[in-house]
Amino acid sequence: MAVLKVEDLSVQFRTAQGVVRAVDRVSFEIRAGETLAVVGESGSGKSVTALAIMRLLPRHGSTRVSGRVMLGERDLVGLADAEMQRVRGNQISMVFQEPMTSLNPLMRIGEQIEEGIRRHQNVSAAVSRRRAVELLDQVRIADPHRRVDEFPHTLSGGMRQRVMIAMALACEPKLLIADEPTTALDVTVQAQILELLATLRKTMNMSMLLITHDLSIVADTAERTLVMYAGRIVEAAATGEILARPAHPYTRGLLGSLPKPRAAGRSRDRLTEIPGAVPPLHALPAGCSFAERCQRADAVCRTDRPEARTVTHDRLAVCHFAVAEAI
Amino acid sequence: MEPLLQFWRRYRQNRGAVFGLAIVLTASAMALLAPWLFPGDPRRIAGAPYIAPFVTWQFPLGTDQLGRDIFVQLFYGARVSLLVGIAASLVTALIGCTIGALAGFYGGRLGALLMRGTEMFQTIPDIMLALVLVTILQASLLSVIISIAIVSWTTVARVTRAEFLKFRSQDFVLACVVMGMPSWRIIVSQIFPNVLPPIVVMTSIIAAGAILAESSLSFLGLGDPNSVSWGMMTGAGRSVFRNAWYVSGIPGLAILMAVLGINLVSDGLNDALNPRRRER
Repeated sequence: MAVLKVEDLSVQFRTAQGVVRAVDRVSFEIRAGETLAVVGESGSGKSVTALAIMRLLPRHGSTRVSGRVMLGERDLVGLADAEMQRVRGNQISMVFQEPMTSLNPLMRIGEQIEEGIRRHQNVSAAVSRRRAVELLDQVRIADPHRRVDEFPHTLSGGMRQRVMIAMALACEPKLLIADEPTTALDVTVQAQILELLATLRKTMNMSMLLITHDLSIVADTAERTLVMYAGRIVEAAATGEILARPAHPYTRGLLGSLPKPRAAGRSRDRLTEIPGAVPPLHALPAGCSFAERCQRADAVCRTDRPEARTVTHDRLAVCHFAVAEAI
Repeated sequence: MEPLLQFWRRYRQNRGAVFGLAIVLTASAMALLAPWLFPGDPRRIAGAPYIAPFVTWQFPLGTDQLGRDIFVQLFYGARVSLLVGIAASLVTALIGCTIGALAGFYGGRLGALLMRGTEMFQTIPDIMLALVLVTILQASLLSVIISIAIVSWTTVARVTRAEFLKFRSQDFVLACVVMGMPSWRIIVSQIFPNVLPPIVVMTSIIAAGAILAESSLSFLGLGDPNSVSWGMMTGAGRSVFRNAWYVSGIPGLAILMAVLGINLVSDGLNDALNPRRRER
């Protein structure tokens, strides 16, 4: 069963250079209890997708969101503000990239965790405080009784990210959106945070939307993976499938650019890179937006935009020449 | 208690600020004790006119051209000056913070509209507008306070807006939105405490300016006619300045000291509230 269903979601920004489609007719669903990873480089539209789901995009005349984001029977795109406030933090929560600035420097961390609990649940101060201590314990912060009264500047980046997770999980949401939750952290701390997220997701039976540019963290964390490029989903499949047999040339390029463990006796291979850069979103080519950088590109790729096609069961790729190939 | 003590320790490091605080406290004591030390009308004729200061114990600072005690008037004048300083700066802060916070937090069309309005006020010369307002509102303490607030809120609004713009896009504010917190609560309970230090400093500078503005208005005869103020005393003495400098000189000195004191205090507050200097 799907917790969240995104249908034909598009986000347009009107800029000085013209209209930019940051997210272009994106559709996917997140099933109950699963982790869905969204992978892509900067400017691929992955974060804007998350912001659109949470309705955090600026609401000026220059931004247009269309399509549907179904949470159960409700479409979040058209929801009234007061209703949306009841959804945020309660049914969908979010963890950000930068733990150093994600906490209010003037408030004790306990107060910040309690804020969400008091907002959505009608409980006494004593209950919410006990809950805050419990949550700190759950995210494995040592000595939670003492930490609960400390200010953010006394915590390290990894610990602040744990506090952020505790805040996000305070009301046991159905879905947690994690927007590059480990990008700003050391590699060792990254692994701990990812493991913590995985464990909490299981114990709380929650779904997670993990947004990252780092393919290496997807393998252990996500059941399914979406690859985004220039605002569109270019490939969607089970994570294992994508890593073993990528169907889209872009995915193949991304995987090729990852360092591989060296076989004994062999010299180090040079990493392959994807030539060129993401085309500017206000001047996308007529055909496939990846054509300029694609080694397989044909005449048809430059004139016709590829549609999503089923490669094998439960696998989509948006490419004229999509085939699942082992690498 | 502990944070207050730390605050005082940081404040104490600025000697000028401690001196300023002493001046402000002295002026406050004068204002509070005036009716108790010197009951009765401070403007009644108490002795011979033109007694110079430090001549007789009965009138330590002398008397003016009508034989009114300058020392007593100085005490009562402190009441008006401080009241105007405090009240005008608070009203100023209230107007400025509200407009600045709304403009900074919401931005867009509302922000543009509010800022254009602010700029419109900024283009009018302060003292001219204050003169016109006091004239329209009739001279009274309240109208003086209101006029000063109306001409000085623009700077507070601009500073507040800039601070709100800075914090608006910080992740912790986004985290509060994500938590389902309504905007008004984010403005009041999350961002406002963070932007308080510059506003406190700003407000104390405005208090000093308000005392000066009140003095100017009173000097020109537009102050409250029923109460003594330092500006009024200075203005009243200006016609006899050549043979009795002290009639306007002493209250003028009082204005100078009060404004200097408040400015020193705001300097000290700036140092003590600046988070970069906090962690040592």
